[in-house]
Amino acid sequence: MMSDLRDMFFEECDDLLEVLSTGLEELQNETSDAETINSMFRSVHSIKGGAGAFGLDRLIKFAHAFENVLDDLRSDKIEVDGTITALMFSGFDHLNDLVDAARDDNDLPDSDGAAVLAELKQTTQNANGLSGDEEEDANEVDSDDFVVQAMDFGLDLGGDDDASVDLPGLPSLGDDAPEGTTHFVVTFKAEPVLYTRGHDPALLFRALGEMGELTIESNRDAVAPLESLKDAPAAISWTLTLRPDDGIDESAIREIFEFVEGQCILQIAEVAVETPAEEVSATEAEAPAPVAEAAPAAAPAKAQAKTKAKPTPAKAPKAEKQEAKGGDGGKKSSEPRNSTIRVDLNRVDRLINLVGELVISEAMLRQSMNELPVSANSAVSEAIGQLKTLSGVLQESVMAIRAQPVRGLFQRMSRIVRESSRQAGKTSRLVMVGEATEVDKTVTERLVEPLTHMIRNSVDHGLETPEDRVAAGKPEMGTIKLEAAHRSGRVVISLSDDGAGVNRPKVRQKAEEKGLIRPEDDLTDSDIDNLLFRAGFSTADEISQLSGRGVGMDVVRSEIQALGGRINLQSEPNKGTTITISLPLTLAVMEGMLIEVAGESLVVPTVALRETLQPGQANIHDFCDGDRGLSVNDSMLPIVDLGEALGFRSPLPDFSNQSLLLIEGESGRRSALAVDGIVEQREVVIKGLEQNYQSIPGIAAATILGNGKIALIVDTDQMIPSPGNGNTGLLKGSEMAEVTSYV
Amino acid sequence: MSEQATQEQTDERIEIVSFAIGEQAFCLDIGHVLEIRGWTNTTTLPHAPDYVVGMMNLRGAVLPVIDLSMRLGLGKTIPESRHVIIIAHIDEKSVGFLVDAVSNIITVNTDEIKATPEVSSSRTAAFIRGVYTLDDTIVRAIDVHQIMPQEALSAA
Repeated sequence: MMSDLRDMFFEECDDLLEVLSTGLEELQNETSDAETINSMFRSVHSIKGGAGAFGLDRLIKFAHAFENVLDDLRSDKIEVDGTITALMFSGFDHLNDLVDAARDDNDLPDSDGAAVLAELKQTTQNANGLSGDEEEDANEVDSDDFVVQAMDFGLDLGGDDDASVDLPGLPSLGDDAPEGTTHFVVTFKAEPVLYTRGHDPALLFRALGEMGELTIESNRDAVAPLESLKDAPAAISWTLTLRPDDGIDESAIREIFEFVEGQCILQIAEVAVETPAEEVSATEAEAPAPVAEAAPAAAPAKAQAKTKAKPTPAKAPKAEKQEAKGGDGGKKSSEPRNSTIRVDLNRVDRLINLVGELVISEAMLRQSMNELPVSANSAVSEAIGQLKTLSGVLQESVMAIRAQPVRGLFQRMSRIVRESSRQAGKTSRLVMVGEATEVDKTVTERLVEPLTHMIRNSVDHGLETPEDRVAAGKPEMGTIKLEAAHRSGRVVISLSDDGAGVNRPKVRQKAEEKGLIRPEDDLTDSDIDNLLFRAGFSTADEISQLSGRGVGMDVVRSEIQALGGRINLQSEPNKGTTITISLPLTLAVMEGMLIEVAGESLVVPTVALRETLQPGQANIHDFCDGDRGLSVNDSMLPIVDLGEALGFRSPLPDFSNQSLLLIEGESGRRSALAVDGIVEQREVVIKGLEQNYQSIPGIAAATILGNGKIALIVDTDQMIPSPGNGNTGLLKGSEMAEVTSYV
Repeated sequence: MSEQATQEQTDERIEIVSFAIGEQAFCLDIGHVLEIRGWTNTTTLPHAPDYVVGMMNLRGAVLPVIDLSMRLGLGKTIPESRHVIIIAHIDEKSVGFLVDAVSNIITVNTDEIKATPEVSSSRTAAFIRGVYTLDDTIVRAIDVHQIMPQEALSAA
């Protein structure tokens, strides 16, 4: 039980750290507002609280110091400047470390973070002239001092109602007044904890407003005057008068406040009345306004004060950014806070598998329906059509469960940029675009390593030293840009730097030294750039701490390929380098071309497919040893007989009756696959072969066709002869047979 | 007599599934057997060892079918509808064994197993754990862990 709670705490920590990180980015980009600091404060505070429950002393101590600085920031005792932002980033990194260490039950060396801690404490002391502890205590006293003040208000309203007793409709009123003729007077005062847990009274009121006519009055008596305003996030209370719609009773109202139970002082009184005519009109006129008013009031009092002190400039870009993010132009606290549940990933996967089965069964059913005589009932085929749509939607929705914004991944990378810049003695910043882009959770997890490596490379090799940058007329601080977007059914993540670009002569020289290419090889610029992905390639003259161990980009590439992705590098001298990764949205489904070879059905991933040629269209030339080439435009591509490459049959005497599929591998190399026939393009559910068997050369996975038969998915990369040795990634069929006929 | 005593101590009754390949009888521990199915078509695998018939679709799961006869060196089976596939779960993997027919489910004592004769065939030594004598028949107990396709000698 305790360990469950602990796990939950650490999961929450991840979310909280993410909020903190977002806040830091905003601070850095000067798009922050009062709410930014508030949310950061709340995050650190919640981490501290949780750490307290589990006795994680070091974490508490650090979070406390951090929180104090944030507190001083939001009370404007400290101005946000470069030094503070840098301190906060270091603080954030250390907080991350502490959380990780606590999660793994590790102890960090005492020296870790000591400097940051001291600096944080010093900052607080400078700002206050008193120790952080005292201030914290003061705050707590402040917030506990509040008393409910709004009660009278509701009772007054009830008093007013007495005046309208003689209006029509009244005769039916008994002690148990019918709902249409009662008002509910709700008095609501939030405890500070309601805000720290991220609830927003404005949302609650809005929900209440949907149940009938609502008037809201706020009572701001408890709000301290601006000069003496301290950390008092819960000074405002509200009186809400609801003229309910039919069927709304007290329990419905209580339901709205269910989620904040125990975090507020709530009283609901039912007042039997008949509303005087003039009050109705007044209510109507007022109704939209109070809700609007309630929204800013809902932010902690401090936020209000600060917004006033620091008006438009800070606010405007913020609003813009939010619109860009999710179309929600409102202020931060009204950003949709979707309710979530935590689910074991295994359960989700089981569900996804089952839905995959369902889709296959559906396809099988549809196929056998088609084989029935035409007399088959049209109602059945209609129902089957519906089933198809439904199972498609179902599959999409289930896949969406696994989708996660890449924000968390990107934020981890921001730390890598900071650390590697420090180690390399360079200054750089990370710009993130499209963090809200959603990607399969497995994909994001498995991208951590390659991206880390890529970023280190960008900082180490891509960016120039500050002196060189200045000399080249560039800003001293380098920019690394991490961008994510959905593009034609795939996720594209690109990493660009504004550095010197790939040093092609040097790369070429290195590649020749290492024997990767021959001096006489004619390589295009992009060919040279892609040499960086070759195994054992490293251009760093000295092996640095960061990269240059020679296990760089080739590992990155194979990781990306293992995810079904493609990686590509583009570089422009003195402008910078962009590495683009394109990934499938999900690992479970992909687009493929169904083909036939030697009586077998196979699938070629559409991703790799560039063009198809029907028999007779192709311009085929013979070379030595039965090798054949296809001339396309100006170039000559090797032809790979798929049936032979997979060992299904001996080499064909000629390819005139073969269809050709032009495929392009990750390296940008192309070849033509000769197949017996092209059936159709379709979406296939990927079934791994390793699960029950083992990996098969030339085959990436399998899928199940509509008729229940299994079709193998071709690993196109292994079907492309690598330059130099002329072999496909595979052994030729005959050589293979020798190897495999033994146990 | 002391042998008798140890026998009683280790006396453990298990169920085995016996099946036929050609004229010979073999058996598996029933704990490994998930189900028994008739022959269904499989998809040929490229570069697979000759005893791997192909991949079959078992309600959405993709699993390899092994020609046990070929695996045991008894010659290739030309599969027909009369053949049977025993679906077994071994070392976290599911696999189908193509055999001629499933004969029986028999309860035996684990200590009734007798050592495999010391023959020269390495296959016999590797794949046969021992034999049970039931009535007049010799039932060869298969070592399921050895019989599974061994990982990627071919990948080299």
